Amino acid sequence: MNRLRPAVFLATGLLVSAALFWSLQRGLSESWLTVGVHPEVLDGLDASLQEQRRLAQLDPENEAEYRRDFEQRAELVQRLRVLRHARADVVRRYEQILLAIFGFTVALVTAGWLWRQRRQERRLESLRESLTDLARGDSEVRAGRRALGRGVIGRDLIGRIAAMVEETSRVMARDRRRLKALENLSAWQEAARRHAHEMRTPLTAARLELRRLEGLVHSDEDRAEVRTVSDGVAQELDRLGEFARRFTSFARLPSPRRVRRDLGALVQDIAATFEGAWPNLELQVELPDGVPGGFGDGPLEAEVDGEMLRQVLVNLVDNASHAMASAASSRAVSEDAKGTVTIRPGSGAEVVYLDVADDGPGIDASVRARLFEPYTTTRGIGEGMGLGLAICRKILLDHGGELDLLETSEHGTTFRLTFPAAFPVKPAAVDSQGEEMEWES
Amino acid sequence: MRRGARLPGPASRCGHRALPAAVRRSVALVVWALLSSTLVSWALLASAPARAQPPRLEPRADVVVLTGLPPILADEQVRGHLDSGLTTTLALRVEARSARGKAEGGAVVTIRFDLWDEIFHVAWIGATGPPHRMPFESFERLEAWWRDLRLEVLSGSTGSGLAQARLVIDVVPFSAAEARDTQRWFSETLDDAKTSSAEDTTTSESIDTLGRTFRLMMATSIQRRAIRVFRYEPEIVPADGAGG
Repeated sequence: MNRLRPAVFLATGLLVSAALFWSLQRGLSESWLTVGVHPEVLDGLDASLQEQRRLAQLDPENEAEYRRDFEQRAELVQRLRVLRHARADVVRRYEQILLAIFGFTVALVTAGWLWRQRRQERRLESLRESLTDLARGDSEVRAGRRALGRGVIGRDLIGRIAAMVEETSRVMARDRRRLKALENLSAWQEAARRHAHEMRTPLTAARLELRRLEGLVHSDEDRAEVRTVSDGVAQELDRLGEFARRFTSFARLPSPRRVRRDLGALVQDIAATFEGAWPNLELQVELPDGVPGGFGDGPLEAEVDGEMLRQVLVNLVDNASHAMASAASSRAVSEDAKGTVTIRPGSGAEVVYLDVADDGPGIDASVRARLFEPYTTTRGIGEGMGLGLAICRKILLDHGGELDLLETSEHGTTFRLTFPAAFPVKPAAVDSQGEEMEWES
Repeated sequence: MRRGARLPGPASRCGHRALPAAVRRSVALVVWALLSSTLVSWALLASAPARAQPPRLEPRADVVVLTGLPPILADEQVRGHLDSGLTTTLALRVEARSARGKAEGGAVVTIRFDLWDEIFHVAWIGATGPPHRMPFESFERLEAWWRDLRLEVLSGSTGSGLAQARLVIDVVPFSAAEARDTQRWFSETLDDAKTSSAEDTTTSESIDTLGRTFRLMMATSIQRRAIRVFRYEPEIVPADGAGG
């Protein structure tokens, strides 16, 4: 019954409006034709005809002229008389046309209304399914796409709800991914810590034993030979020690000390500091609107640990430099040829980001899927442990942000560092000394 | 009983009172009026057959001729229209039944009053033969001609053995040419009204097409319709002319 009620209201409204329309248009359509063929008009024209005849009798020399006028007026009189005879038919036809237009309009409106009702029902059903999916824990629910088809999210209430559901699912999926990544990284960190510990103990013992071995030799000739051998062994032990140190640094990444910073100004400082650090590439910063650190609406601010951000940027630029050097050597390119790394700050919905783009050879497809996992590297044995990007991502995740590979091809690679945007500065965020407050996450 | 008291009259004696003189006079007046009106009606009815004599169908060798046409030109509505300047068409249709079956025929008479010369131009055509034309200077002559008109309405040998016939005369107020002319004029007038009301606006092609359709539909609503229809059952006169 509830579903029938709108249809009943619509039908009643249509009937009432049709009756009103019919009565109003009838009065209008009859009146205009009545005026046109009013008997007084015809009487006046008849009198005019008689006058022409009388004039012709009084002025026979101009009879032809009077007759011509007479014929013209007689023609009009006859047409009006025909129209007067057909008046009822003309009025009826006019009413039929108006009624047809009205009916067509009503049919169009009704069809549109019914179509909209059905669409709304389908959208609500899709929305309900999306909410069910969301409640079930499905990631990346495309509520907007399902509820609106090709429509635009956010135009009406359902659209706005769908957009919110989609946004919620997106946030949940992102958090899930971040949580999983953090769990993985924690596991890797724990493994690295154990490896470092397991390596460090025998390394220390080996170094001590090596020194004892040197003390056991008395002959100068033998001592020189033993020292030569023991130096070689010590170098290898140092290398192992360096590995252990790197494991340790990965395992004991500190928590970021986040401070509200202007990202534009920060990356400009970093770029200035490291200018010329990589001989095979040029470091650029592109700020929109030409305002240092500004974007028209004000500085691009985020709460970041400046030192860690520097570490991330250096790591990414360093990777780009290595990739370009490898490509240059394999292609026998001149050593003077320089690549470019461009850092572009920007902002999105409640986020700020830094795009780090190079014009290097791109990342090999075989490692893209596990690019941010520890020990993933394209370098040769002994050239790197593949912890750099894993550490970078860990730093970004610890900031509540994300590190993504935006695109990679033979024309270059772009990474995006995303940070939550800092809320507008409030007096409460500044301490009594006027210094920015800091906290650890 | 007291002496000198009036004795009741005969009416009183039998239970009725005598009618007053005024009432008696009124009754007599009513009776007289009824009688006189009856006489007048009878006299009118007696003279009626001479005027309301039905039209006649006279079968000839190869045609059936319609004569004694009814005085429809004097009909108030028809007469008022005849001198309008428009061409009045009198379409006569005859349906007849004979031993051979059903036969249909007719004739057309057109009358147009020339407003300048004040002459009735009449043209007519029957079931056979060529069309005829004739001018009349007055309505009286036209009416006289109409009364004496003999129209060949059925052709062939359908006339023999006619048993029953029906005559229908449609009075159409204007000709097909006049209807077309008025349709064109009406459409142009509507177009002029539209053009003058939309001089400063740019109308799209689709709107123009809709406007043309509207004008066409409005103009074609002007159709010829009979303003009067007369129906008769003609008397069938035998071939020797001794009709009843």
